[in-house]
Amino acid sequence: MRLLETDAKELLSKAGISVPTGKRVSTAAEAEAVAREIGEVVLKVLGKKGRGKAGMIKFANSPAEAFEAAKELLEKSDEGLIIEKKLDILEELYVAFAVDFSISKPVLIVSKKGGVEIENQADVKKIPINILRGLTAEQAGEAVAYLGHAELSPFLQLLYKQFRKIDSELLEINPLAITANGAYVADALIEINDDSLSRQPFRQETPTGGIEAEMAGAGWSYHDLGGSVGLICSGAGLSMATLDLIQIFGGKPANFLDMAQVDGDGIYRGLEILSKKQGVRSIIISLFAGLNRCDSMAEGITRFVREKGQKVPIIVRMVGNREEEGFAILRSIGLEPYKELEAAVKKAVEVAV
Amino acid sequence: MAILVNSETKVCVQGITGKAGTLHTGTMLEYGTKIVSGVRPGAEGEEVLGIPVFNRVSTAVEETGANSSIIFVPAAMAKGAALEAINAGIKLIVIIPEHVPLHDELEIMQAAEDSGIVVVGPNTPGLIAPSLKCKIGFVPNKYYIPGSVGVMARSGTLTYEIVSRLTLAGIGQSTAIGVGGDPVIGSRFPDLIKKFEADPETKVILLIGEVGGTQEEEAAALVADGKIKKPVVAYIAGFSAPPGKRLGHAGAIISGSQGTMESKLKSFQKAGIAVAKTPSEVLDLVKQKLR
Repeated sequence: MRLLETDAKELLSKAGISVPTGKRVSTAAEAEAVAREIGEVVLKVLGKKGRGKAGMIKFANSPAEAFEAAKELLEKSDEGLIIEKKLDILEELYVAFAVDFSISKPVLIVSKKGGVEIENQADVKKIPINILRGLTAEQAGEAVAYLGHAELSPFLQLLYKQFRKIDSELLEINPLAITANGAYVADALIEINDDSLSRQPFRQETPTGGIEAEMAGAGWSYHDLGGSVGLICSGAGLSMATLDLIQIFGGKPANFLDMAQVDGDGIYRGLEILSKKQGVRSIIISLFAGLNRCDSMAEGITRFVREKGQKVPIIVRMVGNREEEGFAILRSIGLEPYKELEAAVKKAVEVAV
Repeated sequence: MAILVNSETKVCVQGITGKAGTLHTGTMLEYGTKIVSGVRPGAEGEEVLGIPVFNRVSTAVEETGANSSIIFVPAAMAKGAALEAINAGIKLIVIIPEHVPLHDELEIMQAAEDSGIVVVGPNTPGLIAPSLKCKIGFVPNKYYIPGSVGVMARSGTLTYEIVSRLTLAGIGQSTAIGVGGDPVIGSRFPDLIKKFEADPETKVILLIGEVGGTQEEEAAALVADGKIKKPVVAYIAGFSAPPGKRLGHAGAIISGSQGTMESKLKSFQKAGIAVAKTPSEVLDLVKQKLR
């Protein structure tokens, strides 16, 4: 879960880290009022990437300028704006705590070239951290020496403490603005680990309404892919492999769906939701019953077809536990299942055209 | 022989009294896995399917000689369970639950590294060595037979899909390991491919990967450097996955220049690794390499 810049800065500020005076606003009048209070300001669209290049950052020297800038930026925003005191920046640094998955360790990443996307690895210093020991004084010293700012050691320690406390995947300060009055967090990107949210105070917005919300409500991982071949599948890997085959055979997948250990009721529900999706011309059910059972899933499919009919053709491919029983159930309503995944996908693509 | 397990592997089930713990203790015992003890705080003296239960892993190790463990506790308790197993001197830990908090995973992996312990998972169906009749996990064993293909994979159902095709064709497996679907996991492709290289039972190595992460590239680099001489066959799912989208596994996040399908295919090509485009091509390529 990604925190909005305003939320990220509030959190850091509470931890004793310097951030510019500022506020989240959603109207030009509010922006004008804030500028009247704090003087020269910078306005940035919240919740967007690559804002500099996209013209989503503006400076204003007066309340009237702030009003105009806000009016313009609000057209590009969904989450409102952050308006804050303009800093007199002497130097822009980059500081981040992240996780290096290839070594299973947190890493401290620092660079003297903050403010832009850092592309050249030569400009970066990476320091792996033993999480059971924490960021050592030596490591912090090494990082600040590289940055040429010995005074930043306590700042790094505060930041690491936050990284740990909030179960962060990424805590990136870019830039860390060096001013005559010390270091300020000019921008902060904080990702909280989704699997840790139950022990954190942050609440994720869940999709409201639509197929996404219904699939999420059933506990499944779903993504709209916009094509015409709908997919009902259990297992992320098998779902991705089936999507790949749809494309190989010239079709366009409508969605990704991982229903995990699904049973017949789940399949029924999945078909119910997916058949509402616009543009779906065929549905492939791609199942390998490793722990679950073909007969249970076949019952879900036949119940759906009996009650709702086949508005679009349903192609079933299932193998695994109680396969023969499952096949018999499907054949009882005239649905001929496939054993071979590739053949089933070919058929689903063919009938979707 | 197999990798990670051997004829001396004795398993302790942590969380043996839970629903999944009890169910899969049953399926593992039925298959032939040597399960010697279970752990559940407060349940010492009880038995589950004839297996003695202890309060602590250290007692289970002392009393029953367990040297491996499988963890079936809820995600929030996985760290405590894993650290307890590490401190008790367990040598191989298979962590089943998904949604283990990231920082807990990092702590587990650091402690395991410090103690020289092998971890598989979290978020894994586990591993199976058919010639030893040993499975530590919930892999559906009827699709596996003894043989010489070493399998390492990131996804459960996709592995069953592909392995069952090998098995139907009479091609067996030396050891098959689900590495787990999380970005932070214990044993990764570059670790396992070295173990398969050293394992006399393994003749061909099958890598079943996904977009996202760098495990595939790292394994390919070992092949390119000549450190792996056995033939490798690879299949990667997810070329149609839109960039940056999470498709179920948090691990399949496309980031940086590595991790994309293009990057993986390029590194395989450089290493001379045969890449199957479809699951059915995997069978053809493995057959070729076994000749």
